[in-house]
Amino acid sequence: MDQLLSISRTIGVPVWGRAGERIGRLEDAVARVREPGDERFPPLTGLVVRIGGLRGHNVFVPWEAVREFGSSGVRLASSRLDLRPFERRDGELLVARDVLDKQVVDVRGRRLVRVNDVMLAPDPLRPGGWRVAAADVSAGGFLARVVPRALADAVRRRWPGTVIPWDQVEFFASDIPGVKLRVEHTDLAVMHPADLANLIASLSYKQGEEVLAALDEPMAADVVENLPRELQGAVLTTLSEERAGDILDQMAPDVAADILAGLPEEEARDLLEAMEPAEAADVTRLMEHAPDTAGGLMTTDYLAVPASITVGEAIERLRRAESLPDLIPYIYVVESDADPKLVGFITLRDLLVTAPEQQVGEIMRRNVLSVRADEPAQQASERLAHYGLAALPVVDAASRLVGVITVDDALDVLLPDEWKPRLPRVFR
Amino acid sequence: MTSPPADEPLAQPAPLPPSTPGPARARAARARLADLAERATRMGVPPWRLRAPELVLAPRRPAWLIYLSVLGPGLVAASAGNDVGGIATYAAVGARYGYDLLWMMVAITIAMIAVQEQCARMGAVTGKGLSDLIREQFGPRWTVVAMLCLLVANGAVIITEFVGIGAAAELFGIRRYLAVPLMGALVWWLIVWGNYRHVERFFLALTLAFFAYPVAAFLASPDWGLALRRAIVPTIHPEPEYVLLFVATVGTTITPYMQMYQQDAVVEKGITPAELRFTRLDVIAGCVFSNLIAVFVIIATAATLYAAAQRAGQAGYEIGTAEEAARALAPVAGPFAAQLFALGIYGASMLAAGVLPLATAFSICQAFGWERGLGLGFREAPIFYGLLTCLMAVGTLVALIPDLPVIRLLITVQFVNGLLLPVLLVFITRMAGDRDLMGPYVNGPLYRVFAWAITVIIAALALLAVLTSVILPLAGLG
Repeated sequence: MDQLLSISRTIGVPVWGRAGERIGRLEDAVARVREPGDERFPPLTGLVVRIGGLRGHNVFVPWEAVREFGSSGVRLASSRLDLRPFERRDGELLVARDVLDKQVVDVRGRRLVRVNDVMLAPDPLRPGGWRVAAADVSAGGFLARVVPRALADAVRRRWPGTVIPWDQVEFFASDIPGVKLRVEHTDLAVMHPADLANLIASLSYKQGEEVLAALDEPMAADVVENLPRELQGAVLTTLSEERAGDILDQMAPDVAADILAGLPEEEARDLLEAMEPAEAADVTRLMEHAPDTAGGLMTTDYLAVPASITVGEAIERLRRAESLPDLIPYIYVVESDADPKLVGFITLRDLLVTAPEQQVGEIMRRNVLSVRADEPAQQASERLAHYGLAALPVVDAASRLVGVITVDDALDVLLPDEWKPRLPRVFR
Repeated sequence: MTSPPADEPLAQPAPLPPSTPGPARARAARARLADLAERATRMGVPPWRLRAPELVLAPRRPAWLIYLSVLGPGLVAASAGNDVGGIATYAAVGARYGYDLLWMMVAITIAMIAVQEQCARMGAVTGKGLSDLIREQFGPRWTVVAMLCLLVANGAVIITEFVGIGAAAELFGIRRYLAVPLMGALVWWLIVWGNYRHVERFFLALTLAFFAYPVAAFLASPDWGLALRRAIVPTIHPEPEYVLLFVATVGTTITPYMQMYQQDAVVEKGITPAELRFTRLDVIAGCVFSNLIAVFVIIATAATLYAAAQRAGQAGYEIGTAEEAARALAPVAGPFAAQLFALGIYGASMLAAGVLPLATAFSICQAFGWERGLGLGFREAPIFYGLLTCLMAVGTLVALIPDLPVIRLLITVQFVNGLLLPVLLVFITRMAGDRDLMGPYVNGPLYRVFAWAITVIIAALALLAVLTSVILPLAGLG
């Protein structure tokens, strides 16, 4: 611990020149983030020093010119300074200004924390150099900054708090105005989508956007699916249309349809146009139904095969399919591709244990339960629950298969509101 | 997941409805949709799954619905100002000075709109709550200052809510020593274990009783011309009571928790700068609406209590008890004025007695980064629940003190709020004028001057009130 230096204790310390004359006071430390070679602990590349009294300005001192760096003061190796006002360059992090007091993600702990202090450690590779080592998120770290300076060390000793190693910290570039800072957030991808969704729900929309932008589309789609309903649309509209369209493509069509249905017409239309045609068609079809009907509840993410093909052909179709639903409890059998009248169903097991030459129509079970798309969602869900089904097919007036209600969506309808995961929403 | 042969016939895309905006845009959209349909078939989407593309372009949600979805935070935030303390203060103002302080309501409304608008804008631009932002912009020490202000201001208001519950109970003939602990426990139980949102509407409905004030104001046949003149031309009485009531009215109208609420609600709703137009409308509507009620309370009391005092040859009437305050409703409810008044303050107090401790505990935990929210259990968020419980317990205990000068206490609390408000206003005005933080949505030069003027004037009034009502009397000079 005594190896570590806290940034809050160094900010404001005097800066002396080569001959020991006072030049100014320390304003901030500059670190280089994510340079080539992917250093997890950003090295300090220089200091920002405030010179000349009240109307003074900030200048940059490169690390080469720093001889001694500590909590009692900074000694420079030369008395000559570049007096041009400090201007931050891309890829530079101002340790105190950008990170202190901001919210960051504790990747290992899967939570959002506020940085009470930043700890610096000597650079093992560069004698005299320092690196950003950890974020202090403890109450002790906070208290040490509230009490007068003279007491801060005592407070720290009394309450040595938890620190999070910097390689487990993800900070947000969007908190830093006016500078291009690429933070890759590669570590976030190790988190579970449900955890990430929780995180995004408590972030500002800019930060949420940043997190979503860093994830690949399937992951982003999972995360958005896990967000509370009222946030989903808001999050998608902050992204570029193209990116939002790509994410929607990867989502379950019923969720995508629900999200789009909640958006203003213009925005929904733009997003639909940005989607893949096939997915857009699915979603559009789902949006046609009123939300409280079976049609509004169903998804088009299901498997159906015509009765006339053979089991071998059916298996071949599954193989060739670009994506499959998460859950395949039943494969529905329809009259033909052109006339998708629901005539029966088979299970995956049926396909596996039957000879490939046999026709699907011969082995299918004919007693298939279904609901009409315009029946109330409540009634459809109850039927599903009553018969203990994992999924219930939805048909139109001509008994053509149009979608499937899965058990999770039915549960949403049947469960009382209080059972659903509640986010801390205080003001509602 | 069916994959039919690619040579299936495809239904031709239907023509677009004429309502499509902009001819060029419509043409482009139509071309894109035709292309979309064609590609879809080539990719093997069965024709029965291809909706006619006109559905994609059909109007789905009218614009006013969007307004409604954004509407809300401002209206609720502003209306929350009309709680027991608010009603008591407005009643005291009307009874003591008649219409003379009406001009102040006009000025306060303008100031309030500016303050609330800045908070709404900060919420939309940064996506962060007020206490979050103060922490990030000003560091831990100032956060402690701001949070102490909030804790004291809200703690005091919470006390008034329980006092209000007690006063309402006594108007109904129930002893407050019984009612206050019972109701306190009920609210606590509802928040922590039950579902407060279910009962919220019930309490909100009770506050409709305050709509009796506008009616009472009309029935009491006030001198409308005089009221209007007084609303435009400032009338100033150079005496401590006047300044004190002024600051108390500022404090109860622009209450510190309203700014927190406004900004947090904007953030919570995910409102972005693009939707600011609607949010501004909401803020203005909310402020005007809630202060209109306040104006009617003043007019109603002025036309009844003040007028009666004038006839009796007194300068004004000083309300001492809730029963006296209720008398202004006599033109509406006659002998049942007390009951009507009690119903209103009961609803308002129960509402705020639940929401306010919750919001205060949440804001403070948010600023210091402690676990918070009702979604977590006691063990996960001990400070949050501890703070929540403490605030309610203190409120309940204070309300049980025998022989409380109810109205005086309510006004003093609003006065304290008025004293603490400038502190928060300094934070708000500085941040809303910070170009680094707000970017293009920063306060313009004129707005900046205006916002600082509000802050300075309120601060000066607060200091003047402290000087005339606290320091000089204590020094034996008053």
